[in-house]
Amino acid sequence: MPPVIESEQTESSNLDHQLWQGLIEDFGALGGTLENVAPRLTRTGLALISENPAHSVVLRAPRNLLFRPEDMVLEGGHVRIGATTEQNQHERAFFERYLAAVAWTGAGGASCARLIDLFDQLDPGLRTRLAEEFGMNRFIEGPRETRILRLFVSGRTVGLRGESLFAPFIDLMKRGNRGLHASAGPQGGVEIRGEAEGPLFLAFGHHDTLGVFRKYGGERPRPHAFSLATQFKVGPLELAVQRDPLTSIQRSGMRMPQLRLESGTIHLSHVMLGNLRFPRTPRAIFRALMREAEVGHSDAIFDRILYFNRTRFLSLLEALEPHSGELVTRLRRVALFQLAALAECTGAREL
Amino acid sequence: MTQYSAPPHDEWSWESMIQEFSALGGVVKNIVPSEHGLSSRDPAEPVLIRVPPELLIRSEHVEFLDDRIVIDKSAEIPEPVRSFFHRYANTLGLRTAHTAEAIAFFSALAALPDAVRQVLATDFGLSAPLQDDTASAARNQILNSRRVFWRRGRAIAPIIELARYAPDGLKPERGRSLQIYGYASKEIVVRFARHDPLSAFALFGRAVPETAAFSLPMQINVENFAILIGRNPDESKMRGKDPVPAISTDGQKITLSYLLLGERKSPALPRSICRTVFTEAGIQDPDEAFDRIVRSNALKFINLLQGLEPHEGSMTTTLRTMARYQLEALAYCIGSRQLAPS
Repeated sequence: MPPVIESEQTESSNLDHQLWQGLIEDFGALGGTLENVAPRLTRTGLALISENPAHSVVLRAPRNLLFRPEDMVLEGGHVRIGATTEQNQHERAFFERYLAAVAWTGAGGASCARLIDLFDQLDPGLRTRLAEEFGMNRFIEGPRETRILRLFVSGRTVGLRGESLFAPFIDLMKRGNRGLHASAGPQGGVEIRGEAEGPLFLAFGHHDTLGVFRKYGGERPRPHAFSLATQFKVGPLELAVQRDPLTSIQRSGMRMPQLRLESGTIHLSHVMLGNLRFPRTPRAIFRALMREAEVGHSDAIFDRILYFNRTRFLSLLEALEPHSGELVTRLRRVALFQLAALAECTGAREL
Repeated sequence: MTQYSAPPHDEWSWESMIQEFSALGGVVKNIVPSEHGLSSRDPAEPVLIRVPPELLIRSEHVEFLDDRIVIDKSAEIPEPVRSFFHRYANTLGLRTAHTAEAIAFFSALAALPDAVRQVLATDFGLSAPLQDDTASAARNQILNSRRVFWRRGRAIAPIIELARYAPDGLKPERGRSLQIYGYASKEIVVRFARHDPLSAFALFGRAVPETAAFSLPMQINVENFAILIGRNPDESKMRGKDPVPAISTDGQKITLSYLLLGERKSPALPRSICRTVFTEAGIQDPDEAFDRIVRSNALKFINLLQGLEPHEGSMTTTLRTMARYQLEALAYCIGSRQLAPS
């Protein structure tokens, strides 16, 4: 599994410190920075910790060390960089060595393969449903090796200017509800800076429980929930709700979905339906958007979207009921966490 | 088991019992006993059971005494009716079947893991059956599950109460007498009262996909008010064609006999009722109050599902299904509409 899990720390004698040191030196020579960071082997794989919690950690990867997922291929059990990459020979060689020694072998390849295999063992009807209704195609469709690599990469990339990129060492950070945030670094790179105690975590960001599962393959309760993609008629118009929480605009200091009106269809990049911390916000945002689109009965439309989502996840629970096994249990947890977040919508405040 | 191999009726045959019931003013047409309840003799013909008011025994007068169902001595009930009821209630083989079902239900509840039992007790008001001994809980369930609403109270309607419950069953019709009438392709099922999946589970021991969800009993503080919500859907009054809860206010305390939170047949109704009665009680933001009540309910059922997650077994599956049905019914709350004025 990708490094989503907040795991127990266990010391390990299996870590090759000399190899690690060599990789850090090469990383530095190519422009990367790691300050106050040390490796630690945990139950779920290799992780990073802060050497001295009293000081900030700094992880910085310059542009030449940010790799595009589409340039990565799985060949003969090893991840390689394809010919399409922008990186030069030194950078490619370093990255392949890093993947082989640490990231793929030490942290994640096997656990990603395991999850994909669990999906392959699921009932075919259930698989179809998970793909069609919950966007879990990435676990289900395509050759096994492609899916394993896709999951491995997806759980380890960071977003930078709308692009998902793989940054050595940063990919080893665990993901959690709380954690540090990646930001744009100097010369087009990415930087993570902050104080941390114990394992270093990168925050999940805007993903809800379903989003976390789709991206990282792990199930975690999240404080908010976005709608599944759906489309239905609202008066003379169509309303098309997408599920892209990363596409948003800032308005009055608040993240709002992008709204487009095109050929009689209102497109919303996403709709937040529940928020534990700000339970009056989801309906308020939706009201504001419908006002802007000059659509009436916004509360009833919001209720319909909420209804659609609740019944979809309840229906998933029903479909899972006759089955058992590790993945079934995990999918049940996803559905229950999502339903709990969907419940966090009370009233509406003025925006 | 078919109707022809139904449990023996001790020394009182079904036909003799019906004869005596008829002599006391009751009417039974096209009905035969079956394994779990009643069936139609000829599905092409309507079934009818009519119980005159004299034979409708008020619930508060009926109790168990030494494992026998009896009518309280102080109740003013004519001797022929009393005598009929005692024999009817204690000699029919169906009673044995119902008792066995109830005991099995409570035994399964009692065998649940402690943590689940604790949640059932604290969050779902199922502490009484869990604390009682199984036999006594089963007796209470038998008496409570088949009561029908009759003239501002509840009563046991002989013969009708032998039928199994189903939400789409025949509805008791109330006039001078109480009756069920209609067609039944095979088993006759009756909708004794309005239930949601939780109350149907508590009374009938099954997961039933009811269309409505009522709030759990709770107190919630909204603005300057304390709102107390009960769980008694029978205590309602009609507003136009819509049933609304009985409401009483005492200063800053508002008491509702129940509160509908979701209804598949009329998804705009729950918020409309809440908005109307809360506004009339002086609450400024009834929508937020309603949402908070829905949230609290939903989270309790989700919490139950999470608590059941590591467990297996038929009662666990039934509880899971019940919780899912309740959450489904809760989801049926879409928009709102105007209610008729009071």
